[in-house]
Amino acid sequence: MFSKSLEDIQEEKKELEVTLEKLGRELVNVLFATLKVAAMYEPNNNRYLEQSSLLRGALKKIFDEESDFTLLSKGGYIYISEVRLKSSRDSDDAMTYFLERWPKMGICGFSFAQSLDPRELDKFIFFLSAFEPGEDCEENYHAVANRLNELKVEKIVAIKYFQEKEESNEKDETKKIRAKARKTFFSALAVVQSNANQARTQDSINIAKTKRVVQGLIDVLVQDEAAMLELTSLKNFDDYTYVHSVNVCVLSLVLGYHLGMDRKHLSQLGVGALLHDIGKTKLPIDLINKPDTFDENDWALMRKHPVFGVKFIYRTRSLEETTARASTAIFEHHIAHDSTGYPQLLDKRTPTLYARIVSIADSYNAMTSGRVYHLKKGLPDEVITKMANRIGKAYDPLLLKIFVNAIGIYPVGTVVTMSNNEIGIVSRGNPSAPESPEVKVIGDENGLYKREDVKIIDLSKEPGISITRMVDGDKFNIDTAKYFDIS
Amino acid sequence: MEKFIEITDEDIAEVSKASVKNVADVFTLFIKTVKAMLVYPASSKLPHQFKESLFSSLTNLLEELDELTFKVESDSISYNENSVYQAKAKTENFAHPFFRDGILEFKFKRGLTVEELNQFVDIASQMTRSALVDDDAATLLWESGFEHISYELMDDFLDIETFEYGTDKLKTGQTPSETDLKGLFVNNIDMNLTEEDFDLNSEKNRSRRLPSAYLNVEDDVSRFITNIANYDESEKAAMAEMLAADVRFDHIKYAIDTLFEILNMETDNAGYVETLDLIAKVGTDFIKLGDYRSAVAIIGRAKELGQVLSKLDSPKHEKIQIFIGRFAASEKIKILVDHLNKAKDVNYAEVTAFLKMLPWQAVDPLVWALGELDHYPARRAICQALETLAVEHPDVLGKGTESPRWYVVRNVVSILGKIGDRRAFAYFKRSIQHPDIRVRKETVMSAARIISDEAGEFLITALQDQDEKIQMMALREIVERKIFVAFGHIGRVIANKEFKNRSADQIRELLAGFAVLGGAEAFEPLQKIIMRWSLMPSEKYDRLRIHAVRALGYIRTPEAMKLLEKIACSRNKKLVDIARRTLNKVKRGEDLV
Repeated sequence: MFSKSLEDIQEEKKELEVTLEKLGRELVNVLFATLKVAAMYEPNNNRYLEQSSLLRGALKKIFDEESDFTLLSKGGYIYISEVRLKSSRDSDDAMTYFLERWPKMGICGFSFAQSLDPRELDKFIFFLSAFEPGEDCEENYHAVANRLNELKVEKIVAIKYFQEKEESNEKDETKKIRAKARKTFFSALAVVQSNANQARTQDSINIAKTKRVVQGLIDVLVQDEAAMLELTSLKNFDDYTYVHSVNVCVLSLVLGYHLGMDRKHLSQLGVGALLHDIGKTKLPIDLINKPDTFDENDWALMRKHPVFGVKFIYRTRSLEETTARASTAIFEHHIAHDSTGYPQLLDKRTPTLYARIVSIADSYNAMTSGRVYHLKKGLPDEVITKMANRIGKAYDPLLLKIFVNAIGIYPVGTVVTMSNNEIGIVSRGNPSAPESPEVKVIGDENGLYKREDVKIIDLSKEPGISITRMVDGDKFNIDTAKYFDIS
Repeated sequence: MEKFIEITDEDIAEVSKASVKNVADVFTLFIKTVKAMLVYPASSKLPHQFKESLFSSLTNLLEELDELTFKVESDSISYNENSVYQAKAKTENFAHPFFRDGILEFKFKRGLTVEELNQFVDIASQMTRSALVDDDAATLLWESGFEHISYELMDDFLDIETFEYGTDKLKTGQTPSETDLKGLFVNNIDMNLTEEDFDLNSEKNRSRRLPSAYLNVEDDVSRFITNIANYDESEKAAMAEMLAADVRFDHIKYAIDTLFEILNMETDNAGYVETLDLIAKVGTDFIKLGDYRSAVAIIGRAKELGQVLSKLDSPKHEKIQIFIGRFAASEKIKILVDHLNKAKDVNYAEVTAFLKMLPWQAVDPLVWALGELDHYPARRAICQALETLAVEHPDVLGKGTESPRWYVVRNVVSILGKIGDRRAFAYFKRSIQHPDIRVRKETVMSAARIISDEAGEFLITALQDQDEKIQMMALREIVERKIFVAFGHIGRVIANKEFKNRSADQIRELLAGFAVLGGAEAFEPLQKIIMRWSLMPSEKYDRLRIHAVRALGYIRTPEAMKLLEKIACSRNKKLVDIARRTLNKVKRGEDLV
């Protein structure tokens, strides 16, 4: 019975980790102190000799446990042979020093081998304390590696900074957020659809789900607004009525967020926006699906949907702050800033803030999709121009400015041509330089690039390239949905 | 030799047991804090003391354990699979509000701030208090945006099959042809744009600074686009004001106005009635939620509309009257009673304002409500409202004297007295017979408030009440109101040979009342009492004489004063003192009592 059980092995491993963590912290402290002393004294100075002796002692204790080990900075922490060092008051300064200095040197740390002799260690210390990193991390790494080589320091090896790895982590994070954005967007769509069905058949909606999905949209929006905006630019849905509600919700939230609304008010705005057309569920289904243009009777009926919406809300919910705000957005989203529009008010007044926001989002999405009210589909620049022409009449001037600033004059998801004859899809706006957004370059006049060749460029960093025009992707058979995942 | 301390499994189990106990203790404190929030008004110190204590215990525990995760079930809450809370009754279940809203667990983390914990406790008590509020626990937790409290939600909305969509489904599969792609760029030429148009630094564009896609827009739009990136100070101020104004804005009142606006848009009868029904439902919801201010707004708007329609002689006027009448119906008052019995921190001024707006038809159900309400301020609010509502209909209110509950009868009698209508005496005749003395007392006081001949007669009758306290109350009211017709009746009481056996206070008050009401006419009978010679002197006679001497002071005729002076100089020591004191008081104009 000499073999160890799995529990014993795990226990031993745990013990070793605890020991290494303690010794690692000691090493970091002593190494930091030794580098400071080396910066001030000669190698034969007693002060340095005392300090280097402490360092050797610290290293020996580790070598007693591990023949070779690494000391690395990774994701804001220091690790000794994969064991994360806990931060403590006595080692904070030392850790911060290495966490900041090593990436600048183009390294993430060093590996140490057991047969390290004291002279090698001294050379390493004096080189490290004197090293002045340049601008380029890559060059710095090579300088460190080459110099250690020249000094014949063989038992201590510099490890290159994992910049690529961190970048890829960043990409993974972006991918995760985009996946979350997609999931939340389609959940919102499902909730709108389910609400519409419930409203038609049972005269009720699930307000808890509605709120929750709006909260989800806000959470994603705060993390990556562009991912959410890109989803609103996709128009190839079979049943666009529901998508319109989700898009209006997202666009309203973007406007509210840029205006500076807090979470609670954003949530209330989102609920109002998501339900802004709920009154349409009370209209004859034939009218909603009518393929022809509307006649006067159709319009008269259609114009009742805000009133139907308010009635529906209060039949099913009690009048509280959230429903009050939602119902005014529902009632007034077709009333223009100058009180024209419908329903016709007896007392002319400027619509409430939520209604003014939803009205802008509704108009923009309706005009850019061309799928609501049989409008002609417009490109974002045409729609923005049209809306800007109606400032003060149809739209609140300041809110429209915030809206266009937020979605960009080249909104995310728009297909654009560029001055270098390349074709791109706007992937992220640039509020401080709206004419220079980030673009996914998908091809040129000779053809579309392979998926792996699609690159993202930030036009604010490419002074030679500018957007020349926006184009209707559908018209030129460009399938924008194909590029959604590329980030 | 080094000694190692051996740690056994039992030791570990012991430590873990202790930590579970600590957690359970903290959770019990949490429940107590929530209960304190539910029971005590916001102004009470107790909930705050509980909160402070909870914060201290919880943060100490978090220092040790870093984080605490509580799993939520329908009627229990557990920590590390150990139950730390088990609901004892359906009516008091602190787990349910979280469970109902899909919260599977909540977690407190080290670094928890006092504000976060207080807000969490507020949410827990708010959710436990009422299932009627629109905001569910998940929403309130989300809105709080806690840094050191997290929660896990049941992802139920994702049950709906959403991934049949996905972005993949949106892919059209279309691929542009070479012509398409060339066309993209050829179109530039159609726009008559030159190289200069695309050069943002060109002389032409520098003046306009327009992005190339917007080169052909009009000047107004051009200004809009070129200024899109920056907000000047006035715009920033306007944005802040926009948000502040929105917070100040009364959205509920605005929504009520909107509902009435919709009502006015209705052109056909069915639509009008349907919308009125809807507004009535909204009003009922307000009562359920205890938002009496908004209920007042609804009835206020309806009354305004009713007045306009009445002037226009519109048939809709009647519909509005019926609409207002619906709030006076028994079932609505039952809802109100239900809320007032359950709610905490009720604004009773708003309740009163709401009730006062109801039509008189609410009197009967409100009298019923007086018997059902648990809290005194709620009953007071109803009484105040009834004083207004029953002014024209004391008969309806008076029926309340038939209530089997003594306190209802007393309240009704009190309100009848405050209204002051003489029709009340029909009901006082019944209530003065009430077995409960409190009702009879209130009847005497209320009857006295109504200035009328009936009041005098009624009070005189009350002098014969079986209870001496009622008799004295009636006497005081008679004297206060100078009901002179009662003089003879009091004289008969005094003349009764049993009079001397009454209590000292009664004798004093009756003789004083007799003197006040009778004036000079009372002199002779009083003189007789004072001068009565007795073979066997007794304490009872002495007491009678003393109070009769004092009563002389109320008469204030020369005869009475002369007699007092005479007594003051007499040899009867017991009478001398009281006569002197009475004379002094009369001279100084002081009250004799």
